[in-house]
Parts: sequence; C-alpha cells; structure tokens
Amino acid sequence: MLSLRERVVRFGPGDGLAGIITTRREPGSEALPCVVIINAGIIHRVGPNRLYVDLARTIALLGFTVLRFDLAGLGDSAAMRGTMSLDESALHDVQQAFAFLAASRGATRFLVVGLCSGANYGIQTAFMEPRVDAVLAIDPSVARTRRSTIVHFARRLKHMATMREFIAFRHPIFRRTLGDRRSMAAAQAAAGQSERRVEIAAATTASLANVTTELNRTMDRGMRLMLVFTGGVNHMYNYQKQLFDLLPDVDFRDLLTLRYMPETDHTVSDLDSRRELMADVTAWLMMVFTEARHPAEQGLALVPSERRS
Amino acid sequence: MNLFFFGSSGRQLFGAYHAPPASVPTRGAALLCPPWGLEYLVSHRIFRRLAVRLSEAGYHVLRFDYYGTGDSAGERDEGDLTSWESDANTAADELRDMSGMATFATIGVRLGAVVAWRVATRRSDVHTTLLWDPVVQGTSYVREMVAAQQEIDRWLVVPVKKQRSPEGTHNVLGFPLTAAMRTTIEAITPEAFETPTRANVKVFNSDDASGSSDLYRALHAAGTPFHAETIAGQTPWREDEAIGASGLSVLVLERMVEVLR
Repeated sequence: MLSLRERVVRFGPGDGLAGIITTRREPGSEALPCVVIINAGIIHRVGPNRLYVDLARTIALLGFTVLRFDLAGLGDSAAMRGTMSLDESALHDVQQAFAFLAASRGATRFLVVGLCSGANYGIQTAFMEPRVDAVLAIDPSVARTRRSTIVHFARRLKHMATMREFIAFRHPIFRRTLGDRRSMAAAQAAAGQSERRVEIAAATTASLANVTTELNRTMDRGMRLMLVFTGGVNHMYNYQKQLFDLLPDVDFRDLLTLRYMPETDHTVSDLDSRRELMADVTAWLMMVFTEARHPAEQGLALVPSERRS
Repeated sequence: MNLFFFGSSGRQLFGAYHAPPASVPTRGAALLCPPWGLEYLVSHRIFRRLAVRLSEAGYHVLRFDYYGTGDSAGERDEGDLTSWESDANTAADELRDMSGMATFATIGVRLGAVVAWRVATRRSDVHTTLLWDPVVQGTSYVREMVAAQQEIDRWLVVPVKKQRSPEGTHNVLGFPLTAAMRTTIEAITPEAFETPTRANVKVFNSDDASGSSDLYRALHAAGTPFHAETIAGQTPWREDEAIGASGLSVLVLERMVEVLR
C-alpha cells in the first residue's frame, strides 16, 4: 500500500461530513471519474468487515480518486439536521460529496459504489444524476422470482439444520402459524399481515416497473453497471440469471457486468472471495475506463467477470 | 474533533482527537484502545460517544485504529496483539504531544482492554487504566468466536467457501483470524493481570462472567488495588452480528465519565 495516499477530508454544510480520500501517489488520468463509496447500513466508512477500505485502495491503484465517507449521523459525520427523511438525507449527502469533489478535484463524472443500502442509494443516485458514469452495486435490494422462491424452499428442505428444527417443532414457522393462531388478536394480526403481503406484492410490481424504466433510461445514456450478488442474499437471489427473469424488459446491451458469488457471505468477508471480488472490480474498471491503468501494468491476476453481452 | 493520520510512513495510523471545549477546565487525557474484528465495528459508535462525553468533561481524548484495522494502513490479516500494543504506544506518544499532558488514562474494551492494560503496565505515564469487559482468557475468547462463526455457518443453506490460504487463517465473524493473531490472543491468561502497574485500575463488567472473578483474583494476588463494578444488561459485543451495529451502553459510558472525573 506504499503507492497509495490517504487523507482526511471534511465537507458539506459546516464541514459536517467526514471522509477519507484515497489516491495513487503516481498521478492517475484526469479523464477518470471520481469514485464515491456510500455507507452500508449504519456501519461507518470502513465498510462491513472493512470491505470499503479494500475497495477504495483497489480502485485508487488504477488511478481513480476515491472518497469513502460517512453519511450524516453515521461514523464521524455530524448528525442529520432539518426535516429530511433518512433516504432523502443520504441522497442529499451523496450530492454533497459530488459537489465537494467537483470543487476540490474538478470532477465532472462519478462512479458510485455501495453494498446493501449503499448499493440502493448508488442506484437511486444514478437514476437522477446524469453525471454518474458507472455504478458498482453489491447486494442491492432485489425481489424474488417464482424460480428463486422454489430454489429457496427446496434448499431449505434439504438443509439438515432446518429439518432438525422442523421435526422437533422448534422451527419459527410453528410459532408463526400454530402459536399465533391461539388468540383473536394474533389472528387479526395475521390477517393484517396477509393484507400487508398483498401491499408489498403490489409495491414490488410497481417498483419493478419503475426500475425497468429508470434502468433503460440510464442504459440509453451509456451508464455502466456492475452488479454483484452474494450468498448472503441467497434467500432472495439464488441463480445466476435471476436478474434477467426479474427485469425482462431492461435492455442492458453490453453495459452490464453481473457477478454471482453464491459461496461467499453478504460482506465478502473471507480472504479468497475478497481477493476475487477485488480482481473482478479491477478487471471491470479496466474494461470500462480505458484510462484506468494499474501502476505496475503487469503481474496483476485479473479474473474476467461473467458478462451478458 | 480532529481526524488525522499519524505514525511512520510505513505504518500510518488513523486517529480522531477530541479536545475539550475552551470553556471547560482541562482534567487530563485519555487513550481509547478499540477491540478487534466484529467487536471493533460494533464499538465504533460507542467509542465516539465516549470520546465526546469525556472531552465535554475536560479530557483530551484520542481514538485510533490499529495497523490493518479501520482507517489505518495495512491489510486485515496483518497485525496481532503484540503489534497492536506497539501501535497503542505510538498513539499514546501522539496523545501526549497533542494534548501537552504528561500523564494519561488508557481505556480499552475486550481485546482493547488487554492492550490498555499492557500499556499501563509498561509505561510510567499512565495514571489510570479502565478496562471494560476485558478478555481474561484468550483461549476462551477464541473458542467463543469460532463457536459463534460455526453457529452462523450451521444455518447457511449454501455453505460459504472455505479459505484455501494462507495456512492457519480462519474467517471469524467476518475477519481473518491469522495464526499469529490466534497465538498472541491465546497467550492471554489471568496471570497476565498479575503484572504490577502504577496506574489506578478500574474494571467494568457487563455481567458476572467467570473471567471477571479470575481477573479479580489475579489483581488481588499482585496486590494491585482496583475498583470494579458490574453494570448488567449492557453487553453490546454480540448484538446484531449481521449488521455490525449496537446500542450505546449509555449507563456504562456515563459511569466511566463519572469515575474519571
């Protein structure tokens, strides 16, 4: 890591947002976009199991300027102010990061990176911000398909620990069904739950239609997208091509790189999977941005990611 | 709060320095030693809150990350308990330099408490060491961590890939536990707390775990006066493993500030 430089930055209203900028000591190309990494949940800017530190350093080695920072109320940033919702505040803070990088680095284009809620915010930012050239989203929110539901329950049935709990009547499903039905209040709650499920299903359908529209719009303007799905969300996403079953009307052209990593956890925490992800991200960035160059330009083991072209 | 990097160019460490407000008389300085792994993530918010409360009470406070952890340089599999102690010493010098204080308190949580203790036993400028749920028996700590990981693995429908390399490294609650880490952590025994120290020793326990009685016995055996208290219901270290978040343990934080006043 000797060829990297890291420094603390403060920006936003009252300099209330705190972050770390990672750059390569050898100057990178000015043509490259600046990178913004968005918190996952409430974990501070190092990321879950330090994933964001690894991503920032890996990406910076290619010549990018990378900012990982704390949204308002997280890590070392000041608390949220005003009346914005959590989501509004997060998206507002990402815009603050863009403004800071534009003012301090002359950035005009951006690459947004995030895991889980950070991935969702990254994608939402890309929908409303034409300066976003590319998004790397790890385990964004995703809906099940009929096939993924079948795969999920089939796997659960084959799973020994689950079966043991089931046979011993200790599985949570018994508490949710038999136990809950013992009282009228619980029955009413169950009825409410059923209505809620219908609401969620309707919202999901509407959301998918909206996502389809927005994704097609971003693809029209040539935005590049790398999506990673891990085994940590295998209850929702559990086969390679699920994305295309879920969003059949999105024309991804050659702008999507999809990586399915069923044997690693949500935060890609084991060393081997983490290395594989870093190699994939490196390969993707070097494919998407021709100015991205590793300082060594040799000896870098790149694992080509699976793409749909 | 001043966020900054310090240490040598080959071993850059991240620090967060909280100076007391000008309106409050200065009472002293405190070095916060974080735990490791998941417990580090879980305690980050707690440490920030503790640093703010202590600085409001008149303390110069330095939080920092060991090499290979948090925002500091280095990889996740670099470092062990010995090198973390060395980093704490570097941070202690930085704290003295920044605050202008000749002495300071060390405050540590879990493995960080072991680091805080060691710094207090090896330096003469530590006036108080405050240990929160210290790891007293390293073998038990490692065993509990491995068991917690196994419990998670047991419920995985698709098994997580087993690590191929390097030899002896295991993924424990999202962090690589290397052979060097394991060796230095497993070397922690109650007898380690028999080392004499000139610092005032204060122990906070979240529960009456067997480790605490071993610790008290060791401190008694060494003739080290100490203050200990148990504040039940404030054990955030294993909460919300999936999201790395936790409650703030306000009762413990406020007691720590009171004790240091």
